[in-house]
Amino acid sequence: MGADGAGFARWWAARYTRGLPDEVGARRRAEIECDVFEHCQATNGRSAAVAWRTVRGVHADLAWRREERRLMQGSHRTPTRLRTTWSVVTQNWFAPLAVLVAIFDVLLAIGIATEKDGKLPGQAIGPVVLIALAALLVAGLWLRWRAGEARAQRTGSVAAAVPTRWIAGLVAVLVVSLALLVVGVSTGSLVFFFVAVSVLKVVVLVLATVGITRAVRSADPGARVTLANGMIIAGVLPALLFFWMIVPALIALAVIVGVLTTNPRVRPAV
Amino acid sequence: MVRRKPGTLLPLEVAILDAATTAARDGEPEFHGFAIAQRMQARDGARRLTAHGTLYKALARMEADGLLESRWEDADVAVAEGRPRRRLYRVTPLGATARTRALAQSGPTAATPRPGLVT
Repeated sequence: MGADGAGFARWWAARYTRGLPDEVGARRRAEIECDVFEHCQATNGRSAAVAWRTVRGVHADLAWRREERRLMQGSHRTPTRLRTTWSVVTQNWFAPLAVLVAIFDVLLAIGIATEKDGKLPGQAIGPVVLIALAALLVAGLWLRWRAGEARAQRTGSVAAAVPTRWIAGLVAVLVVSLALLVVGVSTGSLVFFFVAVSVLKVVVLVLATVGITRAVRSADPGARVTLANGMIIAGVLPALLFFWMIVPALIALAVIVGVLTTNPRVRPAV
Repeated sequence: MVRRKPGTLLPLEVAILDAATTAARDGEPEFHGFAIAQRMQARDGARRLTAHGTLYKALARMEADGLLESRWEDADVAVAEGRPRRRLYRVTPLGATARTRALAQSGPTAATPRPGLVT
């Protein structure tokens, strides 16, 4: 009944699962044992077929082993409270700033709604949009937190949320825009204001649209991070639009930089 | 090594989901590794079964991604039939959605057999 091929498959499964966590190795060996048995039954014990099927999957077995080893080493490093706290602080430093922007959105909504000289329908629509954006921002923060937790439990991945060149390009655009804003403030030039704010609005809108589209079209639970990033960025738009207040706009820029340069996926599972 | 773009499925993953969906329509909502390898072989008209390593690595990855869920078969059933216990997989709603989306994106040819989709 295919003793040689089945024996080879079992031997190889025992080799590449050696040193892995007991439950992980035992599960894989049990699945191979079952598969080999069924295969031998179905083919009247064609030993060569079972052996060849094992050989063809060696590269995948080794890749799987490397991944499991990486997860195992990662899990050995995660349990300490200090490490968890450090990850939360470094990957979510912008969250308090984002909450401030949400509060700014709400205060702005109240201000517009209670303005004595306000005109409809702007006085009605404006506060609704602002409250909706504040809610979107807070929901994005929550979604990012939850997505990071799920992702860390699943893979412990430390991959960047977006490619480095994207981050570099975006930071460059933001720095140039900020410089234009500063020049605009110091010289009182409306042209600088107009160019800087237009660039910022286009960049933010494009990023938010891309993020939401990718997340909606993706089957990957990790895409929720991208969706959450888009929601947060959309939520800080009002602060950017009121650029002449300077401080809210700067905080909003800091939030955008924080969202795009951190990765909730490095947060260890608690 | 084949890498997939975020939010997309590898051809093998689509094949697994498609074969599992067909099995579910045939009254077998749960499947085990060898059974799905056989179904994919028949579906794709391939000469060989998917390799052990390729198949079980994909199943593990898909389960981790929430596309599949699994459980061990009742030990008494396996003992009664004189064979090792099976790990039984089932397509999750997320997996079904991902399959539908993948087939829609790749067009009607994705649902047809593709020889050589092994290893």
